[in-house]
Order: sequence, then C-alpha cells, then structure tokens
Amino acid sequence: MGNSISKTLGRLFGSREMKILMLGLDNAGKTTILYKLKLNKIKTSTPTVGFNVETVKYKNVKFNMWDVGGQARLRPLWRHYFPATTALIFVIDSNDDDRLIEAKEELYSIISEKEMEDVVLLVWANKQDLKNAKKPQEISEFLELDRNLKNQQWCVIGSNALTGQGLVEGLSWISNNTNNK
Amino acid sequence: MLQQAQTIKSTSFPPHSTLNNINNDNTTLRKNIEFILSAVFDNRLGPTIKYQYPKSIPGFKYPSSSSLLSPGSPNNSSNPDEPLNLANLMLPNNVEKTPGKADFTVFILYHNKITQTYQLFPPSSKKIKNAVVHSSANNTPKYDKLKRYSILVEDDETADKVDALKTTAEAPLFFINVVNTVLDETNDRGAIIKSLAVGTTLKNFNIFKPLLLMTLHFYMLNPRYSTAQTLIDCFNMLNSLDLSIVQNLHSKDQLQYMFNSIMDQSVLQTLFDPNKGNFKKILKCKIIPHSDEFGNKILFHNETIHYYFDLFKPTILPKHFSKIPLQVSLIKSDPINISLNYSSYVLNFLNQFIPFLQKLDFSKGIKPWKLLVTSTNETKSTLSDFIIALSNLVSCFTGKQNNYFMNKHILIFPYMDISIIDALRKFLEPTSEFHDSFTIVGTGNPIFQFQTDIWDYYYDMDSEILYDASNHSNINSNSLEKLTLQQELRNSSTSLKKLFAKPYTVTTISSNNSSNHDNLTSSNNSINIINHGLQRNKSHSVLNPSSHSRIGLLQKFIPYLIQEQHDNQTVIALFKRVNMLQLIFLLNSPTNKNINVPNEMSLQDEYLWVYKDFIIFAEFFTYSELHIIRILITFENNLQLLVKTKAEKNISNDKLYTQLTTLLETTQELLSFVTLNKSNLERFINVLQDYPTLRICHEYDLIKHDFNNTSLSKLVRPANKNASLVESFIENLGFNLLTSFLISFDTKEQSKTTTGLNRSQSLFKDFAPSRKNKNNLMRSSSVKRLLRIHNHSSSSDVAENTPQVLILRHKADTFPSVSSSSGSSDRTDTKEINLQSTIEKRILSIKHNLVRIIYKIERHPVGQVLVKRYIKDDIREVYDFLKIEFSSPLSPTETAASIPTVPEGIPMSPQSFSSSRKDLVKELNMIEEQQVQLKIASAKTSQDNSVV
Repeated sequence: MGNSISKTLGRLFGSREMKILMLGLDNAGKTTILYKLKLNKIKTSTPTVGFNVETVKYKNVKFNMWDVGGQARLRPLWRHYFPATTALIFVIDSNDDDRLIEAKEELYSIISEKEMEDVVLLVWANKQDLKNAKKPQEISEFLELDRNLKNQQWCVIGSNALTGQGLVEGLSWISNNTNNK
Repeated sequence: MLQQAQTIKSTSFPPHSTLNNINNDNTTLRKNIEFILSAVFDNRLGPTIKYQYPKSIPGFKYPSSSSLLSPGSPNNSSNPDEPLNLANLMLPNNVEKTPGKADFTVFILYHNKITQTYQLFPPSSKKIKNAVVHSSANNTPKYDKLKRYSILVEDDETADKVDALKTTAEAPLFFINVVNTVLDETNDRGAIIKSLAVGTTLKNFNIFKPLLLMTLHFYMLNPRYSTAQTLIDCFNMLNSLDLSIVQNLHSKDQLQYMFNSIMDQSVLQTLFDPNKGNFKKILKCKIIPHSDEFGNKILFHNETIHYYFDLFKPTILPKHFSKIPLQVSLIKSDPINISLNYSSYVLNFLNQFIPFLQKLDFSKGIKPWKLLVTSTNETKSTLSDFIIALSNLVSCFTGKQNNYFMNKHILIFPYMDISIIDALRKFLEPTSEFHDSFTIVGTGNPIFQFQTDIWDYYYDMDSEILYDASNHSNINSNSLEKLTLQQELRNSSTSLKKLFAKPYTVTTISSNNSSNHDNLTSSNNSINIINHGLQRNKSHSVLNPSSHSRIGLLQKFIPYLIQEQHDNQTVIALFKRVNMLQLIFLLNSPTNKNINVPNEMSLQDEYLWVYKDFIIFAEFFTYSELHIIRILITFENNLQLLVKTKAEKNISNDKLYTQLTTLLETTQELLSFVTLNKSNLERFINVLQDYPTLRICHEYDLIKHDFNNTSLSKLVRPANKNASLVESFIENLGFNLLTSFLISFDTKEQSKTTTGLNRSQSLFKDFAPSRKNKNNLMRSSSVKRLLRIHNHSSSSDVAENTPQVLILRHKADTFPSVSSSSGSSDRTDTKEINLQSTIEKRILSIKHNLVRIIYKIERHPVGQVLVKRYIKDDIREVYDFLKIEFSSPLSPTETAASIPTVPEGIPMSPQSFSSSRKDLVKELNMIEEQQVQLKIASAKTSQDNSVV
C-alpha cells in the first residue's frame, strides 16, 4: 500500500525516479560523465574501484545513476547491478578503435541477460572532442543494434563529458522513452 | 600485459642474513604472521594480487586468467576452478575517493582440512566426515590428503575420526589490510591504488596496524620500493619478535575475564605496575623480563607491553621503522580487539535491532536471521570494526566453532565485496550444511540492498535505518524510491518525513531519548522502516505508543548508555550484569510453559529463546560459573532472611539456628569450590565482580515484563551522589555481599562494637599478626580461649576491663539475640543454653569460612588488589582482626569450617557447555549431593581425630 501512495504522490507532483546503470570499458569516461551531470564539474579522474552512485535530477525525473568500474575483473560483477534497472547507458570511447570490438562484445553480453531485456539502451559515443573519434552514426553501425535489438528501445548519442555535449540529450531521451516504466 | 600474482617463495628469498639463526628457527616455529600480501588496482584488469609471501596462500594461487578478459565470461566467483579474488577485499570500493587517507579492512580465511587449503567461508564438517568415511572404506590415494591426520584416520572408529577432525579445528587466519590511494600524474589514470595485508592467527591483529601503515606508505612512496623485498622485510620484522608473553597472558581466559571486569583504573595500574609484586605473580616470574625469548628489548608500561625490534636489520625498509616498538595490550578486552566506540555506533543499532528480534516467534520454527550492514560514508575500518563488535557481543571467536543459537553457525564477514556474493549464496544454499546459519556481513556497497535473498535485516549505518526484508516483498521494483526516501528522511521536514515514511512503512521504532528515559520506545508493528530516534548527537523523537513490542531490561538500559556516552568497558560491564541478572531470573523461574521453550535445550539457547536480546556472554553459561552464581544467590537470599529474622521483635533461636545452618552450608560450599583449584577461584572472582543487584529480579518478571514505562531510577540505588544510573548499576556489589556478614547482625550495638573494635585494633597492635612471631599467635590464641570463656559464661565483669574482651564482645555482639539471652542464662534451661552456644558457633563458623574465602581471594595477585579496593574500611578492620583470630589452630571453628577434600572424578570445574537445562540441574544436584557426603565424611574424620 505504501508504495502505491508513493507513486500516487509522484504522479500528483509529476515526479519520477529511476535507476540508471552506466557501464562500459575502463577509461571510457563513465565517471567523468556522472560528475559532469551531477556537479557540472570535471572531477579528477581516477579509476573507479567498484562503483559510484549519484542522484541526478533532470526536469521532473530523478535518475539514480550507478556507475560501475569497467576493468576486466570488474565486468563479471556488472550483473549484480542489474536488478531494478530502468535504463542502461553504455559508454564507449569513440577514439579507441582497438577496443571497439571488446566494447561491442561486452554490450551484447549485458543486453542478452534476461534481467535486462526490458531496459532501454542509451549508448554514449563519448570523447567526440578527440580528432579521430568515430561519429555516433559510425558507432551505431558498428554495433549493429538496429539488426540485433528489435524488441528494445535504443539510441546512440555522441557525447563529450568535458563540455557536457550530448549528456542532457541522452537523459532527455531516456526520460521520454521510459514514461510507462 | 596480464599481470599475474607473484609468489615469492621463501626458499628463493632466504631469511635475511642479518637475522641470526636462532631467530630464524624461532620464526619458523612460532610465527606472528603467516602471510603477507600486496594488491594493486590495475588500470586495465582491476583489483590484482601482486605478491604473496612466503608462499601463495593455499587455495588462493592465482592462475593466468585470460578468461577474465573474455567478454561475458562467467563470474570468477562462480567458477569453482578459480579462487575468489582476495584483491577485491584488499582494495575496497570507493577507496579512490579519499586519496592520501589510508583505510583498513579485515577478512578471515578458514582452513579446510580435506583440501588443505584456505577459504573465505567455514568448511563443511559433513564433507570432512564424508572424506574420512571414504578414506576409511576405500583406502584410496585420497587418503594421502589427510596425511596430517593420519593418526586419526588409522583409528578404527570413523566417528572418532570425524570427531577428532572436528575438534582439531584450526584457528582461522585473520587478515588486517591497509589500503591507500596516491594521486600520481605519471600514471595514465592519475592515481596509484595499493594495499598490504598480513595474515595471522592472533586475534589482536590490530597491533600490526601502525607498522603495516608505515610499510604501505613506504611501499607506495617510490616504484623502486614497490618490490617483494619490502614485503619480505615487513614479514621478517614482525616475525622477529617473540610475543609469547602476551600470548600466554591472553590465553588465560579467566584471568582476562577478571581484568575486563575491573572498572577502576587505579586497580589496573596497581596490577600492571612492574615495580609491584602483583605483576610478577600475574606473569608468573620472579623477575620482570626485560627482553623476549629472542633477545628483543621489552618494556611494560601501564597495561601494555612494548616490543622493540632490536635484532631485526632491514634490507630495504628504513631503519627508523625498527625504532618504533610494537605495542600490545596485556588485557584482551574483547574476543577480537577493536577500536570502535560502542556508544557511537553499536548501541544505536542494537536499539533498533532488538525490537525486531523480540517479534520473532520461535514456536513457529527457528529461522536464523541474516544481517547485512552497509556504509558508504564511514571508513571501511569503522565498518569492519562494527561487524566485529557485533560478533564480540555474541561471543564469536571464543571457542572452536562460531555457533550462536540452537547450535547454528554464525558467519562473521567484516567486509564483503560484491564479488563474494555468489560464494555467500552458495554457502547459504539449501543443500549447504550452513543453509540455516546466522550471518553478520558488512559491506560498503548499497547494491547489496537489492539482493534480498541474502539478508533479513539491512542496516544502513549512514542513515541509521534498519530495513526488514520480510516487509520488503517488492524491494526490487521499489528500491529506487527507498533509496530516495533515505535522503528525504534526512533532508526534509518532519512532516514530510512522515509523509514519505509511510510508503515504506516498514516500521518504526523510535525511542525517546529525552532526559526521562523511563518513557521509552514503542513501535508500530505495521511499519517496516525502523526510524531509530537515537541517532548520534541528535534529539530523539517520541514514538507512537499505540502498539509496540516489549522492551526488555537490556534494551531499557541502552538509551542510558547512549546518553551518558560511556566507554566500551562500561557498556560491556552493564551488558554482562544484565546478562547475569536475566540468567539468574531464568534459573529461578520454575517453568517456561507460557513461552513454549522446548524441553531439551541448552541453557544458553533457552536464554536466547526467552530474552531475544541478541547479546550473550558465553562464559556465564558454563557449569562452574552457574554453580558459583547459584551459590551466591543462595548466600544472598539466606543473608536477607537473617536480616529479616533479626528485625523481628522476638527472635526465635530455632529459626535463627536453621537459617544460620543454611548459611554455613552455603559458605562451606563456596569455600570448597574456591579452594579446589585456581581456576575455580578466578571464576569466582570474576562472577563476584559482575554480580548484579538482584532487586530488579525480585521486583519484575524479567522474561515478560515490559520495561517501557518502568522507572529504572527507582530500581537502581545510586552508588553516590554523582553516580549516573549506569555507574550505579555496574557498581561492584559482590565484595560487599561476601563480606557484609562479618559486621552484620549487630545493629543494636553497632557503634559500641565499632568503637570497641577500633580500640581493640589499636591495642591489638602490640601483638599484630606475624607468621614470624609465634608469640603473637600465642597471644592471639589466648584471646580465643577467653572468647570461649566469655561466650559460655554469664558474667563479663572481668572481661569488661580488658582489651581482649572488647574484641570478644565484638564477636559475641554479632548477633544481639545471643548477647541479650546470655545475660539471663541462669533463667534458661540447658537446652536453650546449648542452642545459643551453637548459634554463636555457627556465626563464628560462617565468619571463619568467609574469612578463609576472602583470604583465598587475597592470595591471588588480582584478588589481593580487589580486596584492598572493594572491601570497605570497617569490614576490612574486622576482616584483618578475624584473620588473625582464625589463623590459630586452636580456633573453635576449625572443625566446622574444615575444607573437605574432593575425590577425583567429581566434575567441579568442567568447561563444556550444558547440554540441556535438565541435565544441568541434574548435574548440579549431583555435585551438591557429593559435597554433602564429603562434608559428612569430613566431619567424621574430624570427630575421629578429636577422639584420638
């Protein structure tokens, strides 16, 4: 009963909350994005040992954003963060050609999990400020999401964590595509 | 690219050449630390074990794990062929957020006798059994794996083998780990994160913290120091000390219990003063040692011993490291030593947790609870200490196995990473031997809140909110809101809090921590977040008293402890007294029909079943302690009866005689017990120190009474004007109880007696007691003869004018009825005279017994200081006098108070726990019967001797 009251209150005030899981290979820029959104600052980047969790408010939505470390030995632990996730944000270093395949494999590994079959997927093609960075379109084509992900909503957006480019757009897209969640 | 954990074999790195051979030999034989490890956060791989010394921990040898790089590879924790990554425990979550601030974690490894490896969870005893049976039946090559236990395996009886394997349980290895982050611009990720851990069987592993911290600092200072040699130096340095003095002292449980019960710092200072004899006796040495067995200098300072690393010569570590002594407390204050303040953290938790336990209905079946504690704000050191503090309160790590309630295992995991969660699930899975274990697990990751299958209670240390899983059926879908709620509770107004609290409605208990604690706590059963109210440095909200669970005595005291901000020693002292008080009540409660306690249950289980207040001090639940407690209760009750009789206008000598006889028997029983062996004496002193006031016990049904609206201040007499309620409750009453008889029962002539005694004392100086001076004893015995004359004569004219008689008057006046009736003895019949005479003898015999008991205590190095500190001056004077009196072999009470010898086979001091209450009572009765028989035998012997 309590939960329904809470939801009713949320509807009355037009507010929503959701759990966002932000994953990606190490050094993709996940933590930088998180703190750019949270604090609008570039926090000195150190590798994430475990996770970061922050609440980011955008319009009438509270995003509880979980940023989990992307090192090889931390990736098998990602699945423990899946429960109750509304949206998955997968961050890719667009400038790191060598690891794109690795990133793609990790992404498919995640979305093939049953717990993640209903989540919406946002891919941030990060580090667009770098000269050799692949464009969002190129990343999208490389990931072949249109071919392999027909039952889930997905979107690839170019981003630059240093300037904040594409970040709000990404949250807006999630907000607009999770109205019924 | 892949980094592999490096094992530096001790053979490839011979012990440091500067360590002499003797040291190396001893290091091999008796290590202070068994392993040293280092871990590093690899920017690509993540947490990685870098070095292990002197070898890989069996069971944690890390292979080249290319599979870890392959996407979608199974979790390493679920792969039975790969060991759990200890680096995850050594590099805790969020350590990168506090660069420059070192933090500590603790983890425990258990030895598996079958595989001869270590593991993070206790090994299954069933597997051990199966292995033994299998080996015994088939005599297969696997048998070789049990080489260490070949003697056991060769035995015919499989059961015996299994038992033997069980009983030879090895102490777990405790790992204390220090971790730090150093910002480094040369690193491609801007920081270096490293850790060092040492594994030891010593439960006071915290002593290594300072040196470990210094070594890590050095290790991270420069890449050229980040070598195996730094670890080897640290390992050799710590093992270059011989800690046997302190280990020996810590191994003496009874002595440690006594130390822990001492609340007066001056007593401790006296005890541990190297210049005083008590300390030598405690150490059992004629001369205070100035070096350890290896030759390192040691110093004793207050209650600590300082070990200097004189013999160790470092290879790479700076020389100044060895100048700083290792400081070890001689007092083992807890099963596992911690530095956490109970008042700040633990008490707030208990105040919320106990009401939940109170609601458990065991009659429907016992489902062990699983507690998960999380904190992202507190250091991991605080979190680990918090978990260990809870484990201390349930007497974990005090025996061979960690069993709590109904012989069910309790798992203690001070810091757990998410990588261990599958292993935890496996440990608790239905087919596991440990599926119905209690668990207390600490974590720094709130994602555990979503894993509702592994906890029943989830405590958020940061917000001090306790969640109950039974009311969180839909946690996954609502968890987001719950997390937000925590923030709302902290950030919003009270009314808003209430509004938002409702949806979660898990509980609520809030306690009134206002100045009047007597209006405490109530709870609403329909709610499922416990909204404490006893937060640190916060005013406390009042609960809705509409419906609440019963508040037991222990919980009633908690707000007082919090408000008065007591130290850990005081907190434990109070808990011990409540534990004993409730135990006393339980022992005296005839049946527990209303609470449906099963018939066959150990007393400790029955206690937990009945009180459900979490805390248990296992030392009170042994036969010996229970025996002492029972005697003391009888003694106190008899004393009270005598006081009542004394207050009567017409005192019946028959009644008096009966009561005195009972009291005499009690003191004889006590005397027999304490004189039997040193262990018994120490147990007695320990119980005496923790013996509580029974007043609450007499006033209320401690099992059923709800103390919510009960005023404790009316039940606990203030020790003095300035004493708080807690201080008054933990006042040392035992010695007063034991000695009060020495000056009691002379109310009418108290002042006269005291004056007389004082006079006699001053006059008695001339023949003060001295074993060297036989003349003194002669004079003393002559006084006794006078006493006999006085007691049996109707006139005291002669005696009135002599100092001796004043002393005698004191004795005779100890009971007014005797004095008053003696004046008219010529009008009483012979029978009455004989009865009076017997009564007087009884009184003297009781005093004689008590003096001997106190004297026995006094001969103990700790007891001596306690007697001096806790026996009041007036009683002390009487005691000193009586001690001289009774030291004469011509004492009239010699026979009555003679100590019977106890033949072999009588279980006077068993260590094991009771199997059931029924058995316990049976055995206690048996002991009593045997003692009565012994008394009779002793009396006969005495009679025979006197005839001869």
